[in-house]
Amino acid sequence: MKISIDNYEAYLIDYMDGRLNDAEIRQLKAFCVQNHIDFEELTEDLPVLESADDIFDEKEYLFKNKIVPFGSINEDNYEERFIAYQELLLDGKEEREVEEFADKNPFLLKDLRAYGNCRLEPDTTIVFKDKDNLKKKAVILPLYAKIAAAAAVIAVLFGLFWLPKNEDDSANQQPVLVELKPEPPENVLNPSEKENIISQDEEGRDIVHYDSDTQIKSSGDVARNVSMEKQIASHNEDVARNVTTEFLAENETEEIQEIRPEQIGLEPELLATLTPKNATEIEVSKTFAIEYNLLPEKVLYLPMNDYYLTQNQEWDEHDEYGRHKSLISKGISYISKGRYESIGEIISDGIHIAKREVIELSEQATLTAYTIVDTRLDEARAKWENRFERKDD
Amino acid sequence: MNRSQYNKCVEQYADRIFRFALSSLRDEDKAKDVVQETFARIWEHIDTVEFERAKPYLFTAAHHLMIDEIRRCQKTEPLDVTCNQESISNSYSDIQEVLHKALATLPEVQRNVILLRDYEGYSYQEIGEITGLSESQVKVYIFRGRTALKKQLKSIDNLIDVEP
Repeated sequence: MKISIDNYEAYLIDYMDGRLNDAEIRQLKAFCVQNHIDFEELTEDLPVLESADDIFDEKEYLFKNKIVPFGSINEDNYEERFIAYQELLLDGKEEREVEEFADKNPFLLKDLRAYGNCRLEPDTTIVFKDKDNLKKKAVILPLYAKIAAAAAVIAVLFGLFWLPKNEDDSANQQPVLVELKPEPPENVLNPSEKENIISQDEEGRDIVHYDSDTQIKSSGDVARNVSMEKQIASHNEDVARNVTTEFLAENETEEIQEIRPEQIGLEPELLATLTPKNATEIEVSKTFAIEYNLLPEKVLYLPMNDYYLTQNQEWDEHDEYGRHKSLISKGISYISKGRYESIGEIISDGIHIAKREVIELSEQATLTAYTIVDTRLDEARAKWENRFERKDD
Repeated sequence: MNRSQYNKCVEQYADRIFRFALSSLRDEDKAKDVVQETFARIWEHIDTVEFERAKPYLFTAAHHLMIDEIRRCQKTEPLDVTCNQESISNSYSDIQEVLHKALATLPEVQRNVILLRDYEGYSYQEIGEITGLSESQVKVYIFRGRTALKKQLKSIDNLIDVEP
């Protein structure tokens, strides 16, 4: 206990309240003597106030209305129920309970309505104008890309459906020299003629019909392949021109009409040794020749071998078979890597191929129908003639 | 605290706060205003004030309102001797009446701590919590206030003795 001139009064209060022990009392009295403080006078009969009997007569204005409970609702949980009522979280029974409670406590109806008015509605006029900077353009595909993607799937399915046929056909891997112009139905080879037939056209050039279940069996097939090659050549004119030049130089040939199948390695044994590059070059040269009428009526046709089809995974726009293959593999690769920025190109090609396949199929179907009709007509004419011959007889 | 507990507080403490305010302000209307405003404040904070702490909350609020009122009175009517001189109750005994009149001459802080001590029986520590003073400061103010009251009582006694 350290008594000072600043706190001795507090000790005097403690003394009067009887809170000091004898030692502390002696210490306090000594301090007073030392500082000329009249201890006895200061501690003598200090007055104490008595509380009056005044009454606050306006208590009724302070009281709040007493809440009458109803059901499970009372003054402790009614606000929670009011909110749930306005949030439509209560079932029918609970809602009726709230309504009954409010009826019994009409002064709370205002609160009940107030909770219903507490729902905020967004101000739709407030917009964030810089949304474009937030968008992830590399990931979010626009609508046209999604539509095109769906079309690409269809195109890929077309490719998957038709490619095995081409691959099987190419297994023969024998070059043929065929007529480019569509042949009339009567020129379709008889299935029983399972060998190469070499005939001559009007100008004395050889026409080689190769029949071993390849697609080159009808004029429709030939036209289809020519159409495909033309489209390739039109997109790759410069490349085709260079490759063709090299091809002609290598074969030391000035007149392409004089090229014979054996001169450019069309024998099966030699074909098996072709590298993809050589095969591509031959293909391109062939398409270029068609495009520029280097071969007016005939063209070399080289089906791709299986090795080339399966190994040529890189994008090779000069090669129609490789184009099919690489389209699929490239598409899968792009999708797996998330490189959506290139899918437009894949989609475009896929649609293009799909359209072409449909056209070719329709051509083939038409041709087949014509053939059948012609056959039937011939049969009918023959029967008619036989009938009259019998009559004449 | 819920609505029922609030009403209990009104029942238990409205009169006592009124007396506290009236003794300090010595103005019945102002004392009523203090009571109204005190209970308005606790109603606003009914969700955060526990019923057990309602009494100190009410007296703390009343104390601050009274100080605000006294300071406002001192600003607007610095020389108005009637500011704290009206409407004192007739229910005091003579000595108590003199004491309560003398109380008005004390500084507001001495007046309030003595009222809280004598009227409500608060401990020094509780008075310190209500008024924001330390326990030692409360004791000093109480001692000085009582000493001043005693002096005034003595002077009145002397005046009576001198009168024929």
